[in-house]
Amino acid sequence: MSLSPSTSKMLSLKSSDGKVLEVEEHVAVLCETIKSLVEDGCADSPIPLANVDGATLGNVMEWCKKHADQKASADDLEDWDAEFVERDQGELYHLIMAANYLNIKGLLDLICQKVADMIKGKHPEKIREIFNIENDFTPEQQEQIRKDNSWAFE
Amino acid sequence: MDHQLTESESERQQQEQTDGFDRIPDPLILLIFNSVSDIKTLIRCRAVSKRFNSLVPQAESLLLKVDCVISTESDDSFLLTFFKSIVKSLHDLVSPKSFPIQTQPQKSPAQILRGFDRIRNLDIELPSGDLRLEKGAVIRWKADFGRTLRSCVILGIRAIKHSPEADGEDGYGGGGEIDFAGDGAGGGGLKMRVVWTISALIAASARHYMLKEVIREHREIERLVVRDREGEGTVVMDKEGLRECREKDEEEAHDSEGRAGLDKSRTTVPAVRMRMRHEPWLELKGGVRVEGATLVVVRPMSKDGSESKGYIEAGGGEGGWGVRFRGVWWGVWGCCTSTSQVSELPLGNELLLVGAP
Repeated sequence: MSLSPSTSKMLSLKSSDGKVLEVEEHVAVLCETIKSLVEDGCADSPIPLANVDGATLGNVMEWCKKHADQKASADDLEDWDAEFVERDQGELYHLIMAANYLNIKGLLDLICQKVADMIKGKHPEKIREIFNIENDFTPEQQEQIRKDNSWAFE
Repeated sequence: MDHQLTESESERQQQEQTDGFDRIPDPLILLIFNSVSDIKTLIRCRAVSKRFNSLVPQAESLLLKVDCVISTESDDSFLLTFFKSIVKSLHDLVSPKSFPIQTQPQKSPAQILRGFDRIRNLDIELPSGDLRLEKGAVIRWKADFGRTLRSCVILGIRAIKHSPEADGEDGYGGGGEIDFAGDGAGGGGLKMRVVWTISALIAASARHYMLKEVIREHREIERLVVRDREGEGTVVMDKEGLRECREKDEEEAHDSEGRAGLDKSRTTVPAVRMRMRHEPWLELKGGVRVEGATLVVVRPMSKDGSESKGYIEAGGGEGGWGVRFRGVWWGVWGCCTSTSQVSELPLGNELLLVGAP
């Protein structure tokens, strides 16, 4: 029997909320964190991923599966990625945390760019609103920052 | 029913709060800031919260878009000096573009960049190119600098025309004939081509000179690019070039006594050797006819007078020069006019001149 990707070894990943996901090894090793476990021979039992919930893990593995596909062209991946990041910020937040925890540079860069694009060209009020950030400046401090950098607030 | 709704509503709100981006750890916020890179947006981020305010100065990858020429009385307004120098230098050669002057107080790039102390990659985008060309002409240049010019590639096209019917002739006409008559209609215009070349070199060295303050103040920078919104010219400095530049700068600072008052507004270009290739016209696929195409490769001469060896890379995917120059120079043309027909262009390696013996 040949060892084509479709018959490659399966890994069990266990999410923070106890869900177990079966994932092909060649897909899961896109996560550097999992890759090093596999290389150290520690990937036999279900791998516990304490910081990633089941839904997010599913999303992350969907991304890994697409990017592990040798047949996907660069253009194809770009289009696919653009659609992949069309999510609400709750999901984006979980994805960015998971991509960081699992050490998937490609996914982390993708989400960071998406969030960056949400910020670009926006005023502070709007950025606070989008990201639910509390304004902890006094009005005087706020005014000082604007005064010092008036060119950026026109 | 009402109660349930309220409960799920508050649950949803709680969920939203716990998903808030304000909970993203600092290193990830910095990654996002690096992706933003646009300095104007980052400065606005300073006003979002105390945490953002403390993180913004740590961003490593920055893009500074210079919106206008700066006109203040302070010595920091090197951009104006820079434009003035172009005006002066080119007075007899080409007429410079008019430039808008802002009267309200503006900050110079160096002043703005003082708000950042960990810059590794810096891109500066100027509002426009420096040369006023005749209508229809396109010029693209890319210069690599250390303490002074290391290489410059200039590509100029006098006009691009779309002719619907192919006339069945071969790709190009004339082949390197030189039109000394200059400005005759349809001619290559050696004078014009020399003007293009010199103008591009002046613009490049002026841009390099205006970077000095930034390079001196930010020893952490590893890659520096100055381009313009029109995509006309690009100055690139890599890590090695920046190091060389800082060393030279310190040497000069040492023995600068007695030379004060020297009017210097651009980097002196060393003795160079230029190779110019010209085609009066070229027929490209898709009925595109390019007229007066000129490629100039400029390299400094080493001390013994020989030209330094090696290939020039105009490529690397930066600034719109998507191909390696090692290929055909028409590939560069394909890039500077954003066509995707690079590989289909009719001329082969016969025109490869860079690094030729």
